[in-house]
Amino acid sequence: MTCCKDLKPALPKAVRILKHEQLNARINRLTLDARIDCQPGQFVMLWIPRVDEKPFSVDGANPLTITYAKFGAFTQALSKLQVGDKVGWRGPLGKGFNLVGQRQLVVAGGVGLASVMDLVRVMCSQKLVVDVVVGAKNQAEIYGLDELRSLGVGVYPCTDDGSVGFKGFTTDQTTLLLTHNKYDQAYACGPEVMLVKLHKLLSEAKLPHQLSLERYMKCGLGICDLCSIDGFLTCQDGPVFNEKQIDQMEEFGKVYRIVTGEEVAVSGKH
Amino acid sequence: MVNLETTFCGLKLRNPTILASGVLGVNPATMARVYAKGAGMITLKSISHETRKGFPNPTMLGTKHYFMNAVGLSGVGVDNSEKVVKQLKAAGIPIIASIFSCSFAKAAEVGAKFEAFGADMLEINVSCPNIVPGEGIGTAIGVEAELTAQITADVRKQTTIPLLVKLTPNVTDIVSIAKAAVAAGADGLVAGNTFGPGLKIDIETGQPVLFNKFGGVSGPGIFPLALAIVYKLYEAVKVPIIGMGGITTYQDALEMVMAGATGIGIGTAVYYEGMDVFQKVVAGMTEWMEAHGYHSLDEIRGMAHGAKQEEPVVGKC
Repeated sequence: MTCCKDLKPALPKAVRILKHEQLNARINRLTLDARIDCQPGQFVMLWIPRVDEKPFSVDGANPLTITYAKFGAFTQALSKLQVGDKVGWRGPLGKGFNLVGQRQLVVAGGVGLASVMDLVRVMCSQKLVVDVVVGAKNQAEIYGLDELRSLGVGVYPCTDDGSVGFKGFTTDQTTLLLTHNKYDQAYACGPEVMLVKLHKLLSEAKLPHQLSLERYMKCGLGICDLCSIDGFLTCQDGPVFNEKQIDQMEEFGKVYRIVTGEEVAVSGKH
Repeated sequence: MVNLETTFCGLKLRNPTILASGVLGVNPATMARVYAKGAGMITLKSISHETRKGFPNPTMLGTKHYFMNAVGLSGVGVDNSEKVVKQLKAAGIPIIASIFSCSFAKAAEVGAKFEAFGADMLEINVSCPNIVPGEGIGTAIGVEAELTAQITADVRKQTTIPLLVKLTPNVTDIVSIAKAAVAAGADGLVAGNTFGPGLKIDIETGQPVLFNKFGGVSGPGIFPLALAIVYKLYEAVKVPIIGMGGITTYQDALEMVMAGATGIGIGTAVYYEGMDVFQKVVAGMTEWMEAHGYHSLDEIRGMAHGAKQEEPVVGKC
């Protein structure tokens, strides 16, 4: 049998909350009394006893930091927890980003920045050349720009209304960057509609890329099959997939499964 | 030359391994991947007449010895399952549709629909332990021989494809329930579902980990318990048995066959070994049989049931 240390973490460990900051009206950052040894792009499950357990990207590893948007019932409950309260976590789960080459392009839409922030930090620690496109609806929803600038990377904010940076989508900003710069690899996380457009334009530009995808996830252990995309399990084969894997996905950009297992169309909203 | 080909309820399978219900049984593409990884047959996640959400998380937890789940029979409902069955059958994959319902008439209807969609076999799940009191499904049926016989007979009346009954191990006398299922028309038995339910408490919060508190226990730790049940059933009934419960290695699979199983159900081992568990078990069984001079599983099936031995006197009562 596989050695127990190879088993996916399947029991939550309850720890105290060290810090709980509000980054903007929608986005909070949670710091736990825990450290995790993980690849950028991997994820953890957070557990609130008697409430639920949900997947979250790891924003920072030591201490374990989670940046999340108040989105549904679980994140609303999470946002009410205070310093000293206990929350359970298990991880690292899934496959993260694989750093390739020297010149890096990172694209983040909305709270998708949480999935690539640690990646950018690792890139900086390796003295790689990094440009980061950060997209949000407007000034009220954009976050993380100060930290990115302090890391010394190229920061390209864009908002739908032009209230900060470039007025337009991350894909428009990316197209501009691609006309002036050469990159070895691109990495992205954000709404699926953005990722679909990005996959198309990066493929046309022949730039190899890795995208962090999201699916409704129940177990995180490769058992429940709800997070599968054409047989790829987002929880164990992803959430980060390369362009060749994504090319094999007919459901990418089209279909995901909800808690019952029923298929639902991926929202067309950007 | 070793041949693992197995005929189960008249259906020829390339090998005896079968993906158990409730594991990777939602997306046809995932099930096709499990088949490509070596499974001989695939069981769909248990489906009823309606869509069901099941319990909130945590619905599963695992340790190196055992695994627990309280998913609560979430499912798409039979009317959303036609595409899944058709896609798998178009790919030539043998499938068992696992069904349940609180209403026996509806269970029969669900079974008939799956037969019309093209499923090769039906499994009536009367053994899920994760049920809300009063729901009238799962173990609420499977602990009673009479109810088990009744749902079996009702589904049998509306269907013609091989019919299996998935038994609960959490009873005093599983043999009597198995016999009732067979007498009511079951062509085969699946033995069995998870044990318990069990409980896991997180000591830091003092709270049960599973949302439902209690959950069915599976994984390597239950294997000897499951093996003993298959052994007893083999002596009591004539129909073929899918043995399952903690099977993780090829040695476990061989023990199951020696106890009398025809099919080898594998579920939780997907957590312990990944989807590769199917090809690992099949390769291991093949190699072992080659090394020991066996050609077919028929030569070792039921081997552990030797000639009657003299009853030893172990004490006086």
